[in-house]
Amino acid sequence: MSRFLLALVFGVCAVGMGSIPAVGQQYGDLTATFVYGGDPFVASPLKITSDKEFCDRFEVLDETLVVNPQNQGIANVFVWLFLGRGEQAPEPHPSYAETAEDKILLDNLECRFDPHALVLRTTQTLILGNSDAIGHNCKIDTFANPPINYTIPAGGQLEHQLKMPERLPARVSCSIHPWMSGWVLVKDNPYMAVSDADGKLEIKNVPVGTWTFQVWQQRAGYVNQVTIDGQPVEWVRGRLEIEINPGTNDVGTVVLAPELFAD
Amino acid sequence: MRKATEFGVGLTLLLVAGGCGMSRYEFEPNRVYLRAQENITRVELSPVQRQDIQDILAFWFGTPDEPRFPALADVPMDEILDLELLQAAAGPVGSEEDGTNFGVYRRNCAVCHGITGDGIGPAGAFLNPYARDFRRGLFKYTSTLGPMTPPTDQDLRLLLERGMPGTSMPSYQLLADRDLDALVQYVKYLAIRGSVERALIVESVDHLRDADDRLVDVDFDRDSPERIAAALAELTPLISFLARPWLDAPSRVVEVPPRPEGWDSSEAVARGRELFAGQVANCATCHGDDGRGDVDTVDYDDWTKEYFDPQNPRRVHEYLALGALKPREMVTRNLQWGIFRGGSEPEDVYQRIFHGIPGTPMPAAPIKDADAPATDLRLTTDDLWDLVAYVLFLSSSGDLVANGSVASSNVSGQ
Ligand code: HEC
Ligand code: HEC
Repeated sequence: MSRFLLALVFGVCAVGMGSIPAVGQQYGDLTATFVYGGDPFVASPLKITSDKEFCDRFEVLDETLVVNPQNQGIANVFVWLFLGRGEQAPEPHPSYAETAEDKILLDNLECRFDPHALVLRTTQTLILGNSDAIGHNCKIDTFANPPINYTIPAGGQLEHQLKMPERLPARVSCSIHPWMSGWVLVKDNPYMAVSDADGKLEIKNVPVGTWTFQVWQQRAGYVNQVTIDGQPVEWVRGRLEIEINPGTNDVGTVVLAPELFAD
Repeated sequence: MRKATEFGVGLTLLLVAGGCGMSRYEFEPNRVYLRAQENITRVELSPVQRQDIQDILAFWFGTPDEPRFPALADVPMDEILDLELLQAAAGPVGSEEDGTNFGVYRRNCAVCHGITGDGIGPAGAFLNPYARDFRRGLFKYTSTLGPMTPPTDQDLRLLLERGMPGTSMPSYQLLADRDLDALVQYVKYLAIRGSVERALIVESVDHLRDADDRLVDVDFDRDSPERIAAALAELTPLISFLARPWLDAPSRVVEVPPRPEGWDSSEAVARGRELFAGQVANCATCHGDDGRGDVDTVDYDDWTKEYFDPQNPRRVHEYLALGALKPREMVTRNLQWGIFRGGSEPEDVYQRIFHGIPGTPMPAAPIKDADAPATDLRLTTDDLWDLVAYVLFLSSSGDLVANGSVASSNVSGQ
């Protein structure tokens, strides 16, 4: 039975939270750097269609692809532990217990969502904030969780829980300001991350062994064609299999060709 | 005895338009959603994988002429759907000598909503707004909490009796009681079937290993029903997950608090006007201070945004080629018209503001708990009633002003 079904059937919310991993279990960290293979990429400004007096003062850019001009790093690439049919998530490393009930902020800031992409565990709470001086609303089109569309007053905050794991990052939008968009990935295990402004990401303390991770970017979909150390590599359905050993396990500098982001 | 009768224009149109299927009445595969999922994931299903989805659906839910639904171990499907009523709604149009009707869905609804409930009946493309695609299981005008909480039978029944003023959705007040009940069942059936199809698409795109992998390893033509049912057992949790909310819907009805004393007084209207324009309720951002909705925003409903990205409009062509309807801009309602699709009783309007309108940009109002501190910016239920008063005032302000009940009206456009 697939992971998705399992989650549905058992409502697995907190896989093995607080339980003690097998004695002698070893862990390693996964790291990767995603870079853009094309000419320096300049994002275009988005068209501000409402609340112009307030929003026009900010330069709101298209964030469907965010490339760092200094090092070509691609931000907002999601990587998560992929579980095939019948596979269970591993016991999370004890260090994850500390953050299991964290509150994670998704702010409306300067007429965009900040951060643009985030990961959230089913045990954590999402805070929908609004640091702007205008009203926003926050619409999240989830698949397994009930989708929401709440108004968030200027300066206001709202807590929301997403209790079911989602298969893919869910789109966040603001109905009042249709140019705004963001992404939230919800999983019931902590083995996921989003690349930072330099295109780097790290998933700490993965149990040693062979695991499959899935790589996704909003414009590219599953990232299936990449170049690592000059060698073309195919990740079928964005799936990358890697053996995790104690210490750091670096996937390397992963180059994504511009064609991946073509419309 | 069941005798077929002529159906007339609707049927003829359907026969012409339904050209893709092999037989006259087949459920259409949800090609648009499949393509959208394929594009999100950059995975393409093989013809066998696509056919499996349709075969599984047919095994569980039957055909437009012979609807059925599977029995599940964990969810009593027969408490959600009534097979006898379903059969009365389905199939070709006809009636018994005692006046019992058959095929009431095809007779009354399919011309707009389509045989499959995809909103693409023969008249579908010409409507504005488009007829509802039931296959997401998402409804706008419900009494139940939160989007994705399906409507109750009662909600659907009232909707059919009332119709949706301001749209082409007619009122069916004159149909027999039993026909209305049958239609309610059939809408639920199409919604559940449609959402199960979507889940099977997702399941295929996400979890099949490669082009040779299959959701189930059976031969739908040769294997015995018992063997197929056994093989499909591992997929039935999908149905349970999607059907259970329909069972729970009655327990999720949100009671509207009673109208407060003086709820429609001029003071209430004045407070409502202020809230309407204010930063917390934020109604004016979309509807304009005077409710005319002529604010310059461009947006689309969720059904459309599934295949249309306003930031990237050209991509829509591949979906249009698969039968998707041309995207129509979501129209923010002009509240001065006083036409309410979800009902015009103050309680109906209260529910719209409380719930928002699922599937559209209209958000749920932020409500605070009764014991929330005064610093909590959100609205109270009394505030909501003030908003109701203002919304109703907007469309009737002419009379109210004439009656002198609202002294200081400066609503423009009167
Ligand atoms: C002439 C076209 C037409 C016919 C015939 C028609 N409808 Fe509709 N229906 C619509 C339109 C248009 C909408 C959507 C209006 C909107 O979204 O504002 C709709 C919406 C609906 C909804 C969604 C309500 C909600 O809360 O979201 C239901 C349920 C429905 N119709 C059922 C039926 C049934 C059952 C029949 C047959 C008895 C029927 N309709 C016949 C045009 C039609
Ligand atoms: C983000 C934009 C947006 C905001 C904010 C908004 N609305 Fe709406 N509203 C809409 C749209 C779009 C529709 C039409 C939906 C449809 O036709 O399906 C609508 C429809 C309505 C309707 C008609 C309901 C019916 O039964 O036909 C009412 C009443 C209404 N809004 C009141 C309000 C009030 C009061 C507020 C503030 C609390 C508000 N709206 C905030 C976009 C908005």
